[in-house]
Amino acid sequence: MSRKFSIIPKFILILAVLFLYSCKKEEIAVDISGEWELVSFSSGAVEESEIPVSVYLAFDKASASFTIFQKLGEGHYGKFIGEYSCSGSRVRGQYSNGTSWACEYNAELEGNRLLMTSIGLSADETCVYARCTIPSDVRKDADDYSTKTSSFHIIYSNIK
Amino acid sequence: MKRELITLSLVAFSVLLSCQREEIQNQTPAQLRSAKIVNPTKLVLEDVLAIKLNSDSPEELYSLENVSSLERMFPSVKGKEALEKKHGLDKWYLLHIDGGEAPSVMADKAAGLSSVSIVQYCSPIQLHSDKTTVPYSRAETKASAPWSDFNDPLVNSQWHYHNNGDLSIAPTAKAGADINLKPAWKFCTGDPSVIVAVLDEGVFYDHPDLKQNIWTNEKEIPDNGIDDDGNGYVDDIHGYNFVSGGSISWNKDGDSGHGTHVAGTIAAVNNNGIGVCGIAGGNGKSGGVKIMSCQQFDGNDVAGDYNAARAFKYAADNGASIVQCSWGYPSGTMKSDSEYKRSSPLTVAAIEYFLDTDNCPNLDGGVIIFSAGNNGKPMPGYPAAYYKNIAVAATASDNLPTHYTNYGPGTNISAPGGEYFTGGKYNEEAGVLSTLPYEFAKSGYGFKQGTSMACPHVTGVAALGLSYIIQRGIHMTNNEFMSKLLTSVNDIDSYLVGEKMSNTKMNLAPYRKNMGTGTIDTWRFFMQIDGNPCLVAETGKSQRLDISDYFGGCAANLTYLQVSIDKEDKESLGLEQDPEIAYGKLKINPTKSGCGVVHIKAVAGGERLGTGEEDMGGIELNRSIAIISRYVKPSNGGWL
Repeated sequence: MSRKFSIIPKFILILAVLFLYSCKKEEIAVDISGEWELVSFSSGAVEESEIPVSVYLAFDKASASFTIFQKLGEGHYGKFIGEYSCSGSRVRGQYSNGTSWACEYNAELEGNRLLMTSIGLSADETCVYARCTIPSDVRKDADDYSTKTSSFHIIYSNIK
Repeated sequence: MKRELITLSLVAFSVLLSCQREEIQNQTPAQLRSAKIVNPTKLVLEDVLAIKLNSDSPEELYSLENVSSLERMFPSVKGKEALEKKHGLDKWYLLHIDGGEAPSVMADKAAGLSSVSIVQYCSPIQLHSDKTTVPYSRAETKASAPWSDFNDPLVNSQWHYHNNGDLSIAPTAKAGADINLKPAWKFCTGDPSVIVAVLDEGVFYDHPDLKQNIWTNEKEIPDNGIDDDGNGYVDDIHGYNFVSGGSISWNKDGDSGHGTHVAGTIAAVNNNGIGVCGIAGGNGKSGGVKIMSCQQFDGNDVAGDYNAARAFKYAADNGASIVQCSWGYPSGTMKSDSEYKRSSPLTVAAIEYFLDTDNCPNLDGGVIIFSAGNNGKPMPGYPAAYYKNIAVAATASDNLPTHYTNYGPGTNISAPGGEYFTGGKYNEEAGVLSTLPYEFAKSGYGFKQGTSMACPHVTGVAALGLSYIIQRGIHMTNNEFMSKLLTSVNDIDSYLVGEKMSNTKMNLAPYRKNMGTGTIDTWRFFMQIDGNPCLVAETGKSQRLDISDYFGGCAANLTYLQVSIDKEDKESLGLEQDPEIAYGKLKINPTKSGCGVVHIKAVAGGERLGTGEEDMGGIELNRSIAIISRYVKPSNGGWL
């Protein structure tokens, strides 16, 4: 009888260890929610760019949705929307027209800065964003490109 | 040896000089006189000659007999003397011949005067319309919902602004075969500071659907017989009648309402509860652009090219930035720019004067738009074909060339001109609907067809675009303006296969690459004015980038003359080779992430540029394309 009683505690202990071991530690996903303004990209600081570049990102954690406002060169801001997800520091997304982001990104937060580095491309590209409030005139000015399924370059075809 | 070489050179030079002198001396006086006499066409006006002097004084001309009067061709305007001198306008005189003297005899006598450098016969010019008018006679407007928020009841019959493919217009009508005006009107409908000179039949300036947008010379007191503002013209309130010198008229025998119709396409008053819309006609709250009537045709009186020359100067001196001309010589009258310059130096000088005049603080220089002509030939007529003028060909409601339009090198762009027989079925509503004098349409509105009607579409878009530039506070040279205008087009070439039915069966192949850069698109023009986004290239890849946003839907068919990039930008992008255009796309291989600007020169209207010399060619387009090179390039253009 005493032998039986001495095995059971050991058995429970072993089970407890196995249980604890088998439980995967839940990874803490990076929280990139909020509004961000591009301050530098592969070509250097935005303010030093020969060609005007202005990009704002807005990530909403609750709905897992993102919005991009971008003006590259002249013209108006364009708006793109879609969904994103984080797994650890890895961020991936898909535009509302079904197009995936060009790649996944490794996201790091450094104070009020967000660094997003491309993963899996022929070379890394790191873009740095500063936390901000997206100006209302940017939101208002933006042409909605989120439903365009083809290249950026035919967005100015006949609009009926 | 050196001395011998010098001596030999001197001897050779002397021989050459004396040969030239001998050549001149060997010319008979008759040959020398004949060399000074020029003639644009076989038809001449028999009572006038245009004379250019090589001196400041016309004294010698007074020695000629059988001259009923002599006058300066162009009144000099205070403040414009330097520009008048630059273009030689101060040297031109109009000589009126006494009855009985043959113009050839007078020309020969005038050419014999040492102070005379050119004697030009004056020639008649022709309207580019068949002069027929079909009055609008529907009791009610079309039943379908209006495409515009404006309350002009006839706007639904203006398919040329917004074509929904209504097959009651033509059995082959195509949705989108229009100038894409609707989205542009959200942003701008016209600016009253923009003045468009209409060189045509007189404009019915009291038409209720035009009146608000007619230019008024505020410095002139009406009907007092005095040139109050000193511009050389008396009582020129809404423009001037250059034929009779009297008041503007539009309803004499021989008139057709042509000027009023053209004016309405450009600036009929919008949103006033009556009639039609005009491209730059305002929105009911703010006014549209202003129409200046420069009357060239007066009933059955013959219109002379010298009147057109005077009108160009008048337009320049009185504030116009754009000139609209739906007339010219028949196709083939002149076959090259040099032939046109040689035979019509008077009009060329006046055209250059207008192009050189800054009347709008946002635009350097002026813009002249001509209809290509209605001879159905692969050659636009002059002056349209002149390399500094925009020549407009005509399309129909099926987005295809009309049966009558001229086309070919020198044609710069296309626009709707109307065609009654599109698809082989007659319907006047397939024409262009605009304003008319009551003498030609009881309703005050009616249809016409012609490159005459296509031209004011491009003029209207140009005027609307200039209004938008003013609104945006942007500044451009006239070449930048024309480059953007002529590349704001939709593809037509890919549709030019097979045949089409009109009043005859038309083979479409000859029109391919011959309708200019494409069909005008107002919305694209606004986008170009707002500025083009840069193209994104993928670092480390050789690729072809679509440039149709910059060069229009026919980008693949344009002739590209030069692609260049500054050294610094080439290094920034890591280009081992210069970019080039291949099959209408920009071929580039950036090896580094960076930015740069690529400069591209192309031809609007043909395979080579018009140079003003022994050819007929297109207008030079200059565009600069910004490029960003990144490793990250999503297919839909998004940033991530």
